[in-house]
Amino acid sequence: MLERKANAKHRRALLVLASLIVFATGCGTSRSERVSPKFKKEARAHFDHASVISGPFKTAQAVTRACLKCHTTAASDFMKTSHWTWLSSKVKIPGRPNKMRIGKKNLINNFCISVSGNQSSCTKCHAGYGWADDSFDFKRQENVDCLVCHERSGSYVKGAYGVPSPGTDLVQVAKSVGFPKRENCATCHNYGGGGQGVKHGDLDSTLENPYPSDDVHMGRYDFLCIDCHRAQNHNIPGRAFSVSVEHSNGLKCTTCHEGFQHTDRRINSHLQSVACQTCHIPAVAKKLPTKIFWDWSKAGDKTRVDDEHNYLRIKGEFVYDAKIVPEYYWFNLSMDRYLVGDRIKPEEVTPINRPLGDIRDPKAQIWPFKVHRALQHYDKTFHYLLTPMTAGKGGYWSDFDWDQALRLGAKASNLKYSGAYGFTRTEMFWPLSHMVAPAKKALACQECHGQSSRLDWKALGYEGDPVKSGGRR
Amino acid sequence: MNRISLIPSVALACGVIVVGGTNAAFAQQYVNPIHPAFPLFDQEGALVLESGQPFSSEKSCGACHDVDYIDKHSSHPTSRVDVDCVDCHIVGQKLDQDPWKLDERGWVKRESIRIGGPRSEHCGSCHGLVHSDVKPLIIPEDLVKTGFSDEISSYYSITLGTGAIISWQKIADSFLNIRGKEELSVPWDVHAARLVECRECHFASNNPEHTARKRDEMPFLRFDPRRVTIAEYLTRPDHRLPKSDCRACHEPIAVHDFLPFKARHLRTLSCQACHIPELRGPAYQMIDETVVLPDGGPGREFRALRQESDQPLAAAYINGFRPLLAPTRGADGLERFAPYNLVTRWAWVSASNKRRVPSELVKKAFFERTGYAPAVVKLLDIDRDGKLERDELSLDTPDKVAGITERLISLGVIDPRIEGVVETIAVAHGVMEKEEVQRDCDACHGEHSRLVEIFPLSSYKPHGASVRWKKSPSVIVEGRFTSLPEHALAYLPAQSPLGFHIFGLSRQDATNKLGLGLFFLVFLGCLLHGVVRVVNRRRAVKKQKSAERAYVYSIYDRVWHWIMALCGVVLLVTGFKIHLGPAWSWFDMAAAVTTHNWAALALMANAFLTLFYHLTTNTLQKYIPAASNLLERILRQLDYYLRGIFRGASNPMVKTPKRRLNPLQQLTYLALFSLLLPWQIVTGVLIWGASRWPGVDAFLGGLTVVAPLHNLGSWLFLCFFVLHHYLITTGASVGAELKTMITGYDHFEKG
Repeated sequence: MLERKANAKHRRALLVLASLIVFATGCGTSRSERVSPKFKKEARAHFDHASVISGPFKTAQAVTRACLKCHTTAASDFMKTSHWTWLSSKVKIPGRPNKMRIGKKNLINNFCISVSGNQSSCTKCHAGYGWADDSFDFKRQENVDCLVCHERSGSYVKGAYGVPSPGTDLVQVAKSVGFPKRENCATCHNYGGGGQGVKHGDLDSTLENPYPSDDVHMGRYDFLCIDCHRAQNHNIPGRAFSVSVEHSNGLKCTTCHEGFQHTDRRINSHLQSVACQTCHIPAVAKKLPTKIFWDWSKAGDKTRVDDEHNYLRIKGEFVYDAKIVPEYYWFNLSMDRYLVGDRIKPEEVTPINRPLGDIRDPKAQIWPFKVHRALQHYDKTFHYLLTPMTAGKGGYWSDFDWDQALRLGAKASNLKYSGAYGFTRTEMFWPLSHMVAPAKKALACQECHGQSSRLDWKALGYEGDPVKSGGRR
Repeated sequence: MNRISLIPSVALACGVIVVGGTNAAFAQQYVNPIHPAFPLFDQEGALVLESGQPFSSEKSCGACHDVDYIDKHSSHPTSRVDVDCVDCHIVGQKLDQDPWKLDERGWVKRESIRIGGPRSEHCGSCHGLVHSDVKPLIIPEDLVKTGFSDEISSYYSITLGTGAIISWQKIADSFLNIRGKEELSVPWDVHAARLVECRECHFASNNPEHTARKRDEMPFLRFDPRRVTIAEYLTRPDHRLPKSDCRACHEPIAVHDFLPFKARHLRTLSCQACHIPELRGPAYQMIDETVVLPDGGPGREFRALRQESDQPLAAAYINGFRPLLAPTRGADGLERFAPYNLVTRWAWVSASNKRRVPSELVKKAFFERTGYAPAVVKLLDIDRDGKLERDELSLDTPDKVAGITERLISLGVIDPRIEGVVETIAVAHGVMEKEEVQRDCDACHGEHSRLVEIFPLSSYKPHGASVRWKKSPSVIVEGRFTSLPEHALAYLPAQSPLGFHIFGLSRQDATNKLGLGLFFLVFLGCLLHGVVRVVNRRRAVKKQKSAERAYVYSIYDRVWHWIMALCGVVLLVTGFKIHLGPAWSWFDMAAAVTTHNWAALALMANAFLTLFYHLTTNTLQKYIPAASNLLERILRQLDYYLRGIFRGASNPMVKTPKRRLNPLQQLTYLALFSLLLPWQIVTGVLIWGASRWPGVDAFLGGLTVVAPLHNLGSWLFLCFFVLHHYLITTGASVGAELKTMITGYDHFEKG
C-alpha cells in the first residue's frame, strides 16, 4: 500500500508529462485557414400559403387585406420604408443648411428625369397600388403591394400606376407567396430606367441565374438578394447612392467579411484607401450592356429607325456598353446631390450626384463607379434643370412637343418654366457593389500600378503612382 | 474594340468631355521628366534638320554619353549584336523624327522625348515574349524566326528556349489553349506581376542604385559611398548586365519554415527548381536542320505542344511541361538541381571535316527552282498527294536518309552524316506565384521522382544519326539516351544523381534485403511456433490460476512502456512512409517527416527519463542477468521455448514479484536499450542534422551511408516488435501479460 501511495503522488505529474508527449507527437503542421464569411444563409423553407388563400379577389387591394388578416403589422412596418415612401427620413444633405426628406419622389436623375408627372410609368415600380398623383393616400394599408415582392408564380406584372395588369389571376398569384426570390427584386432593380441594365452597371438579368464568374455570391454560393439585404420588419438594409446621400442602414462587404485580411501584406496595405469593390469588381456590366450615355436632345426624329440600344424617337440617342473599365473616384459614402430648382451653369457639366471625399479625407476610399452621362433639358432663363412630362396624357411620348411636356412637367414639380429651354450636360455616379468576381478574378497589381494603369493617379490627387511616390499619409 | 478606348471616343463623338478619362494616365508616364532637349545629328555630325540624313545615335547620344565606353563595356556590343541606343532606351524603339517634334534649332522638343531605362518590352524584342499590355496575351506570329542556324542567330530566347513568358497577366486570362487554364489564375511571371522589370535584376553594373554586389563581398558594409556619382553613371553607364541570382533580392532561409530539411533543400535545389514547376510557353524541343520546310526553315518541334499541320502556333494546344531537374555545379562550387530544357538539333555534317553542311546546300538538295524537287517529293510524300506537309518532312527511315544523302553527295558534300546535338538551356524565368510553386514532396521523393524522370528529346530520330551533348559549363550529365513510346530519343537521368540520398527514392538494396529477410524469418518463426503450440494445446498442462495477486508494474513502469510503444509504432509507420515515398499517397510526406521528428523527440525524452528512473531507483539491475550459470540458464530457457512449451513443461524461469525476467528477456532488453536504441538515435539525429550540420554527415559518408544504417535499425525494431508481441502470448494465458502491463498486477503461483 505504501508503494501505491508513493506512486499516487507522482501519478498526476506523470500523466501531465505523458499527455504533453502525446500532444507533441500529435502536433502536425496546421496552417491557418483564411477567414471565411461568418455569414450563414437562412433556411429557405416557407409556409405554403396555397392552403390558406382561397379568394376570389376582385381587386389587388383585396389580396392585401387578406394578407393583413394574419400579418397584421406588415403593412404598417412596410409603410415606414423607402420602398413605400420613396422618401428618406430627414437627412442632412452635404452643403445645405436644413435637413430634408429626399428620395425618388422628389429628386431628379439623368435617365427619365423625374417621377412627378410621369407616375403612370414610374410608379409601375412602386410597391403600392394607384399612385397617380399627389392625391395618392400613403396611409391606406390596402394600397401596399405585397405581391410584387412575395409572389413566386412569375405571372405577376404591374401596369400603369402600379396596378396589376388586367387579366392577372390574383388567386393563383396570392397562393404562390413566399420569401422574395431574385426575380422579385429583379423586376424593378434590374430593369429600372425602362430596360435591362439601364441604370445600375452591376445589376441586370445576368444575376437571375449567374455563373460564378458573373457573381461569386449568387453564382457560386447560391445567394439570394435577401441573404445580404436581410430585412427586419420589412426594413431592407442597403443604400443606392443614385438617390441616397448617406449610408445609414447601408450594407458593406465587411458586414459579413468582418475583419478580413488577405494573406499578402501588400494587399492589406490597400485596405485603408481602396474599397473592396475596386479590386473585386473589375468591370461594369460584365455581360449585358448598360447605358452610359443618353442624349435627350436627339429625341423626336421621325426619320430615324427605333432601336432599343441606339435610338428611340421618344427618348433620343443612347450609348450602351459592356465590360467597361469603371471610373475611379474617392468616395466617403456621402454624396453631393442636385435638388430640383438648384441653379446650374449650363455650359458646364452638372453632376446630379457627386461622390464626396478626396485623398485628404481619411474616411474616403477609392471606389469604382459606373458613370452615366446625359444631355437633358434646362431652363435658359432660370438656369435650372427641367422635369419634362413624358408618360401620360399630353406628355412628350404621345405628343412629341417639348415645350408642352416641359410646361406640364414644371407644373407637376412646382417649378417655374420660362418657355425657353436648352440641353445641358449632366452626369450621375453609380458606385458598384454587385457582380463581385471570384477572388482569382480580382484585379492584379499591374492593372492599377505601372505602365498599363487603369487609374489616373494624378487626378486622384497622388503625386504619381503610389507604388513609387508612396501612399497617402 | 478595346473597351477602355471605346468610352472616351464614343463620348467625345457625342460632344461630351470626359472627366478623368482613362487614357490620360498612360500618356503622362511616357514623358521622361529629366532628359534634356538635345540636337539630332546624322552620321556626319551635321544637324539632321539641315542635312535631311537619318539620325545617328552614335553622334546624337554620343554628344553627352560616352558611347565608346558603353560599347566596350556592354553585354550587347555592336560588334556582336545589331543594337542601338534607340532599340533599348526609346519607347516604341523608334525615335520620332517628324519635323514638328523638332524645334527650330533642330533639337528634339522636351515634350517629345520618350527616353528612359529599358522596359521589359525592349528586352522582349529579342529575348522572348514580353507582354505588358492589358489585352489578353497571344503568341505573336513573328515569335518564331524561321531560318537555319547559319542564317539567323542560334540564340534561344527565354520563350523559345525555356517556355517562359514574361507577363503580369494571369494565365487563365490569355488567349492560348492551355491545359487546365481556368484553374491557373496566377500570373505568367510573378516578378512582372509585382512590377519588377528586367532591368531591376539585369541592371547596369555601375548603377549607383544597386550596391548589392559590393555588399556581398563586404557584408560588414551596409552602404558604400565609394561609387560613381549619378552624373558619372549617366555619362559612362557600364552596360555589362549581371545575371542576377534570386538570392540577390530574396532571403530563402527566412521564409521556408514549412519545409522539413529546410537548409538541405535550399542547399541542394536552385530556387527555380521549385518555383518554376511547369512552363507553358512554346519552347523548342527539337530543331531538324536535315530537312527544309516549305517556309524555307528547318523542321521544328515544340515541347508538350500539339500543333496541327496547318495551325498557327498561337492556336496550338499547350500541355505545359515540367523542366528537367538536372544536377549542376554553380559558381559557388555547390552542386544543386536546377531546371533545364533540352533542345536537340539534328543537322547534316560532313564526316570528312566534322563541319556542318551549309544550309544553302541542304536547301539545294530539297528545292529545285520553284518548289520541292520531284525526287524529294517522291521520297517523302507519305500520303501520296503530291505535296509535302510539315509532318512528312522527317528523315525517319533508312530510305529517306539514303535518298537525301545521295542528293547531298551529288552536290559535292563528302560523306554526309546526321548528327544530333543536345543543348541544355537553363530555366530561370517564368517564376510562379506561391500557390503554383512545387510543394508536393512526392514530386521528387518517390519512385517517379522528377529527379530521375525520363525527359523526351525528339519524336523521331533520323536513321543512323549520332547524338552528342553540347558542352555546358555547369550541367552535370550523368544519365544516358534512351527512347520512349512516343519519342525516339529521350534522356534518362542517372538513378542516383550525384550520389545524393533522396528520401523515398534512394534505397540501399543490401540493408533492405537483409532487414526484410530477418523480418520474414522472425515472422515465420513466430507463426510456426504458434501453430505448433495450437496443435499441441491439449498436451499442454493447464496452468492453474493461482490466487496470489501482486502489484508488479508501477504506474511509471507502465507509462514509459506505453509511451515507448506508441512512439515506436508512430516512428515505424512514418519511417516507412518516408522510406517508400508516394507509395502511401494518403499520407503527406512533410507531415510524415514532422511527425517522425516529434515522435523521435518524445521517444528520446522518454528514454532519458526512464534511464534516469532506473538509475536512481536501482531497478536497472532487473535487466542485468546474474552471472551464475548464465549459459546453462539460457540453454534451459531456449529448450523450454523450443520443446518444453509444446509438451506442457513448466517454465524454468519461476517468476516472483521481484524477479520477472528470464535471462533471454534480460539480454534482449539490454541489447535493445543499450545497442539498438542508441544506434537508431545516433543515426536518426545524424539524418536530422544533415540539413543543419552538413559537415558532420559528410565526415561519415553523408546520408548515403547513414540513412541505410538507420533503415537497418528500423528493420530490427520491427523484428523485435513482432517477436515481442508473440512472446507476450506465452504467459499464464494468451492475454495475461498484456493485462499485467495495463493493470500492473500479475498472478503468481503460491510458493
